[in-house]
Amino acid sequence: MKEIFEEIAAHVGQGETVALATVTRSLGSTPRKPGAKMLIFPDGKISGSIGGGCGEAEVWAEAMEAIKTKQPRLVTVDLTQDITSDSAMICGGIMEVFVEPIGLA
Amino acid sequence: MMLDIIQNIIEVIDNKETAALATIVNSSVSSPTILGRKLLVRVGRDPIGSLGSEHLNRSVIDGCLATMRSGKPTILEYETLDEEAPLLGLPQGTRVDVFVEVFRPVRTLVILGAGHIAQPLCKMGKILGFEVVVIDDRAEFANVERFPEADRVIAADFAETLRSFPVIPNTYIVLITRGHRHDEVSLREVIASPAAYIGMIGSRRRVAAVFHNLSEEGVPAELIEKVYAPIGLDIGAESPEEIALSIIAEVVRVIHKGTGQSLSLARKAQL
Repeated sequence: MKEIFEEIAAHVGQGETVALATVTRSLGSTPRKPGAKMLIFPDGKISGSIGGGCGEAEVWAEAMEAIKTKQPRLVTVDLTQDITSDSAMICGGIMEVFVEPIGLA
Repeated sequence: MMLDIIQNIIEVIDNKETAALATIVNSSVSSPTILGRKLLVRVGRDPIGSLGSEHLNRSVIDGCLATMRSGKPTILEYETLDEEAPLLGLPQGTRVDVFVEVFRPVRTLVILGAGHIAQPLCKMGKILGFEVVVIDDRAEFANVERFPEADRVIAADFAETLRSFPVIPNTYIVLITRGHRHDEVSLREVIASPAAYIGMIGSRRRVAAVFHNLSEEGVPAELIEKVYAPIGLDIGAESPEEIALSIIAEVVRVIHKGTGQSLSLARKAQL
């Protein structure tokens, strides 16, 4: 957990804006529980995990948007809808993820 | 401000302190300006940051203190007051969702006895994120070569080491020494400690003998009752690795208050 905050401090200290995604609520058998964190950098790279693939693509896209617009957002990731997709079959559940841009300004 | 809070969180983790971080994550009337506002509550210090109004801060601080006790992340729901409307830019009665997460010192797994079960147990403890400390009075067993993953390997007398060891509610103690005499000596040192878990290996007969001795010395029954002995979950473990797994599984079960049963049992019970 400490590593992710050190990464934020290092990148933001250099003037970068990063996005922090935090699971705030989970219902059903979601892969990660509230408090799990993932960091998304402006170049699209990620650090940490909020689900090992499950719903991460959706959150990633919102994070890129958050970095661009500097607007935080609450994202609901529904992993129950498409039961034919691989990730839904493994994951299931619904989770809410708070995505916030962190920069110097 | 945000960076200030991040630096403070790093400090909290470094100093093994406890803190709660509150973040506004939603509101029933959409307001982009309040989303993401943060308040960090550190034990024995002034809170850092602000959610936008004194009343909201105070109410959330109370929630943070409760969350620190449970350790479980939670969402506090707050309804804004009339007088807060100009401060928060929200009409009276707006519901504001505040996510609260807790930073607590990492759990420490203390393994007494550096034998053949301790080696895989140390590895598993590290995989699960524990700080792992291995103690044995035999230097040929308690050494970094045998426990490369351990955070600390202490080759010294069991009782003496434990007497000066900081056992806190984040400490998980596993007694797997080479003989029940050493287990008993070690258990005596920690039985009244606030450790989250104390488990002791041994057959039922040996465990009963140790408990009998402690009871004779006047150790209260409720303390003895709290000891997990014989140690481990019943998974039919035979090899040292399997026994280590059974021990660490019990520790995880205690942390998360699980049943230790196969998840499929609940489904079958419904049929």
